[in-house]
Amino acid sequence: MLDYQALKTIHIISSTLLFGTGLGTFFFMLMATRSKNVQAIKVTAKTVVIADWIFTSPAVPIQFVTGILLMNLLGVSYSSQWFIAIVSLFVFVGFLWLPVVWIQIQMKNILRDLPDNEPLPERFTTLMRRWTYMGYPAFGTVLVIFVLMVYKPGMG
Amino acid sequence: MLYDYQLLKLIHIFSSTFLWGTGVGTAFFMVMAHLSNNTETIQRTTKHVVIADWLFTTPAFIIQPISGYFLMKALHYDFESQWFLVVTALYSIMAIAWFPVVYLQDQMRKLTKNLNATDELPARYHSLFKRWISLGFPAGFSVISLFILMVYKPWLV
Repeated sequence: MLDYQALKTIHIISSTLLFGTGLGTFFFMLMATRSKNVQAIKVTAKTVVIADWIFTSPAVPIQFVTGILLMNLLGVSYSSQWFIAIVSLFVFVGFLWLPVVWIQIQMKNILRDLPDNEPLPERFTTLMRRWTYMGYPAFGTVLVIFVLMVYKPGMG
Repeated sequence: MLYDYQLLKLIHIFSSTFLWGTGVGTAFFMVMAHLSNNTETIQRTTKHVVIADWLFTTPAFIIQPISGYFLMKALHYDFESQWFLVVTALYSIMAIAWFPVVYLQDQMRKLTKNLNATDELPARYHSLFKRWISLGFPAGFSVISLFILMVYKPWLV
């Protein structure tokens, strides 16, 4: 079984990959859309989906499992205010993420049917705007989770 | 305030996320653009990679040693400990790898800026990219080692 230090290392590195690459993905998708170049948007949108599979998808279960194991090792109660706050914030980010996946599929379909020399349809811009609106509260929430992880209030 | 341990730790961890996490994200988008072999995509992506470095990596690169210094002060860690020497050495390896990376990606941006969509990528672009990606490995290895040293904190005395 992994010890406290090893679990903590895995927990921290996977959190940096989850949040950091998430932010990176957000940035590159936003910038590609602003360039209005259909070729660039197509390649970037594909890369976004792959990045989600390589970085985000493994990191979410790893965060959860190492988090639970760390709590058990430290004897932190599952009914502590700290844990309830963490879980609520985690679930909130999850609810923001689900419509993001749906929007990404819609955007992918539009791009698939779009010839390279045609401008982006209005619908794509609308979807992209909604996509970014989901990103900002998710960013803020993850920031709060980092704060709770370091300060660890309400653990008793 | 200056020595508030929790606040310093939060800044230190958060900026490490920006340095490492967005660094990996940026490298990934750059590699994927390169693999697409599409001139217009590479043109835009190299431009955005340069912006991402200024926005995320550069501030984090500066904040890391500053918050680290104050954390050492707050925790009364010895600047002559083996731990600190190894941490400094690894950070330096990362920095030495990163400076040419900044230069190389700016060269790639300039080189592809005025290409047309149907133009072939010049041979110099491919050689720049090869050097760029080679430097990523020692930098990545150093950062992973740094994370481990930050959590385990061996050789502190």
